[in-house]
Amino acid sequence: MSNNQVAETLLNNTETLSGVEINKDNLDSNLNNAKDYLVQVKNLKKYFPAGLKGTTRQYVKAVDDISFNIAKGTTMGLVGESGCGKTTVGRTMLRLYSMTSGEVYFDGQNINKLSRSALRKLRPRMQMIFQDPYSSLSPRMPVGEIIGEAVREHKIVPNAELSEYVAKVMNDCGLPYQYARRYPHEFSGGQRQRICIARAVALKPDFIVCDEPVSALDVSIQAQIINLLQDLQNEFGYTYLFISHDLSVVEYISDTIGVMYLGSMVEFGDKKKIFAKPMHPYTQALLSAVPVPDPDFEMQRVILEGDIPSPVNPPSGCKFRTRCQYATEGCAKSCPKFIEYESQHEVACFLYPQD
Amino acid sequence: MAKDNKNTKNTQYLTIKEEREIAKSNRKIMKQFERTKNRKNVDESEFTTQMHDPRNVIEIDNLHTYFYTDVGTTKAVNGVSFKIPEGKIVGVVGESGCGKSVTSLSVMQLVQGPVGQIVDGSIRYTTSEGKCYDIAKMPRDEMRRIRGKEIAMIFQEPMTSLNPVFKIGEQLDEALAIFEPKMSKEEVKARSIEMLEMVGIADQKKIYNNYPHELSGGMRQRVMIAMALICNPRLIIADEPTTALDVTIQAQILELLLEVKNKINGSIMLITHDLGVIAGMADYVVVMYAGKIVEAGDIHDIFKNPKHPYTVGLMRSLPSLSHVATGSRLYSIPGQVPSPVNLPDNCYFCNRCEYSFDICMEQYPPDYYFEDNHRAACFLYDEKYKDLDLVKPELPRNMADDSESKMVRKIPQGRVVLESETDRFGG
Amino acid sequence: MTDNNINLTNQHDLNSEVNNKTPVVQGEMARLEEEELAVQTAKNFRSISPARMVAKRFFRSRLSIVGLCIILFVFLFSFLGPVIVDATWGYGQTEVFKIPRQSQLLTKANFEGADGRKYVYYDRSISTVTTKAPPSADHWLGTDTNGLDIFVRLMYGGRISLTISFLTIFLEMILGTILGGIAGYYGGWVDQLIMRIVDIFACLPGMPILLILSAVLTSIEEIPAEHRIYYMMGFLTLISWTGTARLVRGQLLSLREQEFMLAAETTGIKTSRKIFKHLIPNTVPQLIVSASLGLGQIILYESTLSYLGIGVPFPNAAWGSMIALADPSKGQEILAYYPNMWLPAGILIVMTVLAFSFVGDGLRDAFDPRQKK
Repeated sequence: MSNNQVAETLLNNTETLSGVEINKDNLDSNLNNAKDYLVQVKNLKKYFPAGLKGTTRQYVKAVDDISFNIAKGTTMGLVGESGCGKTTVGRTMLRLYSMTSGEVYFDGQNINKLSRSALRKLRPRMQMIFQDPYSSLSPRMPVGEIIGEAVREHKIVPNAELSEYVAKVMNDCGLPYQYARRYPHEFSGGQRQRICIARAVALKPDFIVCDEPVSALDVSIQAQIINLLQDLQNEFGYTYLFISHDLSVVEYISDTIGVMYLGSMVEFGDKKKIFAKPMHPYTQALLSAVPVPDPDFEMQRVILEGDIPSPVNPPSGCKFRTRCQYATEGCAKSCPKFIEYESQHEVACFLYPQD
Repeated sequence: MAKDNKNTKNTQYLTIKEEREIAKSNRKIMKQFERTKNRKNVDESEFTTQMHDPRNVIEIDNLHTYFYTDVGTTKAVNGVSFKIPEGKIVGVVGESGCGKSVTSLSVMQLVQGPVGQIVDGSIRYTTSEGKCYDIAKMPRDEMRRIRGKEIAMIFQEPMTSLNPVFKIGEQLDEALAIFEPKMSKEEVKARSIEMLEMVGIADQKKIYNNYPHELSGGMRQRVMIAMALICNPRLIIADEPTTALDVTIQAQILELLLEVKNKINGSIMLITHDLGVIAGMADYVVVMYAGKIVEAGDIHDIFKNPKHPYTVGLMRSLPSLSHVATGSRLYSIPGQVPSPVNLPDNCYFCNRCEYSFDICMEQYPPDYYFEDNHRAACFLYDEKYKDLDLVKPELPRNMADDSESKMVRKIPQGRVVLESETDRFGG
Repeated sequence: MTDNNINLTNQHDLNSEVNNKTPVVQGEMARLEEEELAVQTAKNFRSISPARMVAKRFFRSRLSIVGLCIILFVFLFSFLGPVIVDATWGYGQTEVFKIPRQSQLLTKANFEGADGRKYVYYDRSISTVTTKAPPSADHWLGTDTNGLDIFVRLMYGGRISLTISFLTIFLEMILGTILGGIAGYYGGWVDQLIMRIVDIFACLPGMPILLILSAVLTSIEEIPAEHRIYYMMGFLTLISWTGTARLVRGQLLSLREQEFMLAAETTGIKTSRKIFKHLIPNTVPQLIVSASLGLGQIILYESTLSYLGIGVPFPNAAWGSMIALADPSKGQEILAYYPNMWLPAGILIVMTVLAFSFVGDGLRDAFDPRQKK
C-alpha cells in the first residue's frame, strides 16, 4: 500500500520535471504499431529507497524514465556499465521488482495491473536467464526437478509426458537426459548455464530476459552458449532482451540496442546504425574503449575522465555531462530530449537539435 | 534404475579406500616440501644461479606447481617455460583453471601451502643488486626481500586486496616502510603522495586520508597500482587487473599501466583471459591450456599466424565484425576444459580438437619452433607427419590479413552529421 | 558407464555440428576413438560426493569424534542398559535393596550444663543401616539413601534426559522453522510482528517462570506427577524456539536474495513450494548444527529442574535429582562421604553436554562452505 503511494507521489513530482511532451509523442507512435511489439516499456522508473538525508527520503534512481519497445522475434541488447541500472530494467520489466512508476505492456497486457494469480499465470511466458550460473540454481534439487518443476505446476504438458518433455528440452539445450538426476554442483559453469536456459525454455516462453548470460563463462564456452541462444531463437522464435556489458557480444546477437547511462537511456536504435554512427558521446566512448583482439588495430580511445556519479545524487540536466568533453553550460540546466533523428535511431544529447 | 545410479556413483566419486591412499601420500609429500621451504640460514649458493640471457628480467624454466588435493594431484602448472625481457609486457592468456594465476603466484612464492607446492623447475630472477636467484628454491625467509620490493603484484579484486579498516595512506606508507626502514615518516608520506599522483589521482591529499570503501573500483585499482609501484619494482605481475572493472574504466587503467611501465622502466607480466586486452598491451604472448603452454610467440605471430588449434579456436570464437556483418554462426570449441587432476599422457586438447589424429591420443606433443620465438605444442607441425597432408588450423582471411581489406571500425567523435540532416534541418 | 556413452554422443553431435562448417579429413579417425578416450578421462578424474566431503571434514576434528563416541556410549548406556539389567537381574529403577551393614555414627553436640559449664556430647553408637551401600559386585555404584541401585538409576536417568531433550529440540525446531520461515520469506509487517513476538519470548526469564509453573502444576490434581516434566518441557519449547526462528529468518533473508529464488519467482511456482522446496532445504545444515548445540542446553535445563525437585518426580530417576541427594543444605554427609551417589551423575551430565557441543561444533565446521578447499 505504502509503496504505491510513494510511487504515485513520485510520479506526480517527476512528471513536471521531465518532458511530458516527448513521452506523449512516443506513446502515440507506439500505439500506432503496438501490434508488432511484444514488449513495450513506457516511462519505466524504479527508485530504491536509500536512507534519509536530513528529513527527506533519498532514492537510488536505478532506472529513471526509460521507454523502449521490442518487436516479436527480435533481440534487443541493453548495454551500459555496472551500476547503470540495466539489470534493474530487466527485473522490473518482469515485475520481480515492483516498479515506481511507468507501464510495461507484455503482449498488450499491462503487467503492473495484473493480479497476483494472473501474473503467476503469465510468468511462464516471460523467462529470465541469470548471470551467475552458480547461484541461480537451487543447490539441493536435481537438474530434472529444476527444469520440470514449473512445467508440472503450470501444466505445460500432461503429467504423464513430463519426463519425456524434460528429456526433449534438455536435449535441445545440449544436455544428456542422464544428467537429470544429478545435482547442480556436479556441473561446470557452461553446463550450468545450459541448465538455466533449459529451465527457461521448458516453460515455452515468448520473451526471455538474458541478464549477462555469458559474462561469467570462459571464452570458448561463451561461444557455445551464444550459439545455443541463437539456435533456440531460430527454432522457437523467442524474443530476447540481452543485457550485457560486453559490446562485441551484444553487437553480434542483437537487432536493436539501447545504451544506458546512470539509469537513463542515452541512445536507442537499430544495431547497425548505432555501431556505424554512434551519436551520443557516451556511446562513442564506450565503443572506443572495447579492446579489439588485433595488435595492429590502432586504438583511438576516447578516455573518459572520472567515474560514474552516484545514482542517489545524479548530476542535474544531462547525467553524462560531468564526464562529457562536449558538455556546455546548457547541459546542466535541462535534460536533453530523446529524439528520433533517423528512423530507428534515437538519441538524447544537446549536440543535436532539440526540436 | 538403482543399478544405473550405482554405476554413475562409481564413475563419479572416489571410494573411501582411494581417498585414504591419496591423503596418505599427500601428507608425506607435503611434509617434505614444507620442511625444505621453512629452513633458516640456508647457504646462498644453494639458490644462486645464472641467467641464460642477461637481458631478461625473469626466466621461468620447466616450472611445475602441483596441488596435493583430496581428490588427487592437480598439476596446475605442468612444465611451463617462458621469459620476460626487460621493459616488455608479456601476456599470459588462457581460460579459468589453465594455471595462469598459479604461474604468477609461483613467481611470488605465494602458492597456498602446504597443499600447493613448486615441485620442479626454476624461476631465475636477477635482483637490482645484480644477484641472480632461483625463486623456486629460495627458502621462505629469503623470499621476503624480493616479494613486494623487486616483484610487485596487482590483483583482480581491488576491494578485497585493500584492508578496509586502514586509510589508503596508512597502507601505502606501510608498504614502503617495510622495505625502507631508514626513511623518515615525512619522506614516506611524501613518496606515497607522489605515487598517488603518478597513478593519476587528482586529489592525492584527500585520497591519502580516505578509507578503501570511499573509493570507486577504478580508483581502488589505481591505489593498488600505486602500492605495487611504491618500491620501484622491476617486474609487475598484473593478475586480471581490469576484469572487475567497466570497459571505460578498463581503458583508463590499461592506459595507466602502459604509462607507468615506461616511467619506471619495468616489465609487466599481464595475466588475463581477454584477448582484446592482450592485443592492445602485450609484446609477447603465452597461451596456456590445462597447465601447459600450448603456444607462445610474438604478439603478431600469435594474433596473425596462430599455429595451435586451441589458439585458433579461441580467436575464432570471439564475435568479430565479420560475424556481425555476415550474421554467420560463431565458432565454438566443443566440450569442456578437462579437469586438471590425473591428466592422461596424450595431448590435453585432443578431445576438443577437430584436427587431432592418431598420435595425439598417444603422447603429449613437444614444442615445435617456427620463426623467432614462436612455438606451439602440436603434432600437426611435426616433420614426421608431413606426408599425411594434415589440414592445419587457420584464421579466417579477414582476421589474419594485415591488408586494408580488414574491417576496422571508425568511431566518430562528437557530433555526427546524419544523411537526413541536410534536408531535415536545412544544413 | 551408460552415462558416459550418452555424454559422448552429445559431444559427438556438437562436433559434427562444427564440422559441417569446416570439414576436416583427419578428424574422422580421431573421433572413432573419442568415446574410449573420454571414458578414460572420466575415469581419471573423480571427485568426492558432498555428503562424504561433510563427513570427511567432520571426522578430521578429533574432538567431534570424541563427542560422537560419548553420545553413542550414553545412548547405549541409557537405552540398551536398562533392557539388559532387566533381563539379567530382573529389576528396574524403583527396586529397593535392603543391604544391612554396621555403621558407626559419630554424633557430636555442644551444650551448656546446669552448672553453667560447656559440655560436649559424643554418641558413638553402632547401628545397622540398610541403605547407602558402598559399591559392590552386585551394585556397581552402591545404593542411595533410599536403597535404590545407583548404576541402574543412572541408566534410567539418561533415558529420560535424552528422550526429553530430543522431543523438546524437535518441537522447538518445528516451531522455530515455521515461524522464522514465514517471517523471513514474507518480510515486511509479518516479519516485524513475528520478530517482536520473538523478542518478547526471548526476554522471558525461563527459570523463575518454570518454578512458578511447577507450583501451579502441582496444585492441579488432574495432572499426574510423572507428566509434569512434559508440561514443563513443553513450556521450555515455547520460550526457546526464538533462537531457531531467528536463525531460520536470517538464513532465509540471505537465501531470498540469491538468484535461484528470483529464478523460482520467474517460473511462477507456488509460494509454499518456494518456501518448502527451495528455501527450507538450504537451511537444514544450520538447523542440524543449532539442534545439536541446543540438545546440551536442554539436558542442563532438565537436570536443573530435577535438582530443584520440580522435574522428574521420585521414585523415577533423573540425573539432576541424583545430584540433589548431595544437597549441602541437608547436611554435608553425602557430599563428603558418598561421592558414588552424586559424582557419576554429574560426570554424565558434563560429558553429555560437552559431547553435544563438540559434535555441534564439528558439524558446523563440516557444513561451513568457507572451510572448503
